[in-house]
Amino acid sequence: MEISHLDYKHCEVFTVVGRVDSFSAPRLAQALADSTSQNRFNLILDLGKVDYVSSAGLRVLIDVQKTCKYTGRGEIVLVGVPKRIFETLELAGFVSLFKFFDDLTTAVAHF
Amino acid sequence: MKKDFEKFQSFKKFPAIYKSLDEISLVVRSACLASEFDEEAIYLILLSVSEACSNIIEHAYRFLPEGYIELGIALDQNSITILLRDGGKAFDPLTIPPPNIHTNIDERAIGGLGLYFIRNFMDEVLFFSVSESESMETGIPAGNFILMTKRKGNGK
Repeated sequence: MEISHLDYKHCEVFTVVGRVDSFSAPRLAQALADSTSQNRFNLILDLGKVDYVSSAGLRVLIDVQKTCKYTGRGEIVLVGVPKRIFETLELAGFVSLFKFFDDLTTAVAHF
Repeated sequence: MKKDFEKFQSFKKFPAIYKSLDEISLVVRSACLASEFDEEAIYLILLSVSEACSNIIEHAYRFLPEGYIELGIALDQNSITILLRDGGKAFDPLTIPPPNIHTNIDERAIGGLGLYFIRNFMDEVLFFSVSESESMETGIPAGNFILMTKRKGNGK
């Protein structure tokens, strides 16, 4: 798994490539925590090039969403979620907990 | 049962650490490709294997680094069966309640989601343990087993 990070004026974009599993999920958690610990809670996660997200990856998404929502100052939104991964999120009952965007431009405009 | 066991090929042992997930995934993927599974099925199989291995590392071994995961694969024309064996604490899947997927975010826990995925993604899932004495009698190695079968084209 590779993560790249871009700072925008009102939000931050994380682009993930590869597999998010128990091995790689802690790195994703750390990358996102680096932002929330600096009081940046408008987060965009681009999953367009992700092969799969295991339950360990879902745990990271939920934890970060809880952190963002708890502050009332932002949220993490998901971009370009591949159909298979969306179906996994649906199965886990996660769809109602996140906003989904087809492309980055729309997601950035959301904040 | 021993006969069933003999159909498994390419047994390989990996250290029971998260870092092994990549290599285990590669071995399973190449077996799936050789058997002409489609990408949709391969995705579901790899995710299930990842969840099962994570459960072994976290629950059977409680992160003890000296643990192992043995991988065996049985292929026929229409299905693949993945065998995972470990020497850690026996696992009773019946003790794991299904996740509550309908609560709001504050109450949402992730426990049990891995097993829930495995049961949803694979066509057959079997857990059992073989004791040392049973192993002597049957010739099957001792340990905890999970057998997961995926058939082609059933749309699950």
